[in-house]
Amino acid sequence: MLVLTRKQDEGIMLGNNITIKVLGIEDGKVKIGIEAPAEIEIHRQEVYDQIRQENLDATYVKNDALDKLKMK
Amino acid sequence: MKIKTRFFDEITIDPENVLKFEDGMLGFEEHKEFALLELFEMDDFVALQSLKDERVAFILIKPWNFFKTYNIQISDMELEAIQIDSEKQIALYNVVTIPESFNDATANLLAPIVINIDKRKGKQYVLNDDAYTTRHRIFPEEKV
Repeated sequence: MLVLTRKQDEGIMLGNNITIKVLGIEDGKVKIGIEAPAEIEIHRQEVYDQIRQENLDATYVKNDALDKLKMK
Repeated sequence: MKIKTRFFDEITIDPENVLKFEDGMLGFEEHKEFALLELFEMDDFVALQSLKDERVAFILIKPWNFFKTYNIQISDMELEAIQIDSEKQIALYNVVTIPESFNDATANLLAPIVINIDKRKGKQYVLNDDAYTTRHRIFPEEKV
């Protein structure tokens, strides 16, 4: 992992067309602005992690829970 | 073609019906081919079976069978990833998680699966929407 320290209003470039900027720092929170081409998906990491975990949980189905699908 | 499945052992499917998920599913990015299978003639639930590993299969619902007010936005640009150029090509599903009790099953409304019926492509989209979570009860709670 590349670790950089930035102050307010400083930025980081990823490749040629993605820019990350520190817009504000307050209360232990950092406001981050991201400029990227529309085809790049941007998400909060914990949301992505949550979805990954949910997909994983969804593959654990007991076959007898499925038998109930027949009855319902 | 014959495929091994989680819920039905080995079955025969038409290779033309195979769905290509270029990005896989989140957490299962290497699984790029799936078959959509009916479950026990109940059309409320279908199975999305990975062709790469028979153990990887997801149970899906069509959201409006259970969530009549489900209302989401996915941009045209994002839908280009599965070559959607008309709403008619879209089939929308949500992944279901089934815990010990089937009645407690939940649907992931935050990350729906969009399928391009014509081009046989699919993708799981992550919504930027506070109204939805990964776990919405499908059935009402049973009062004990």
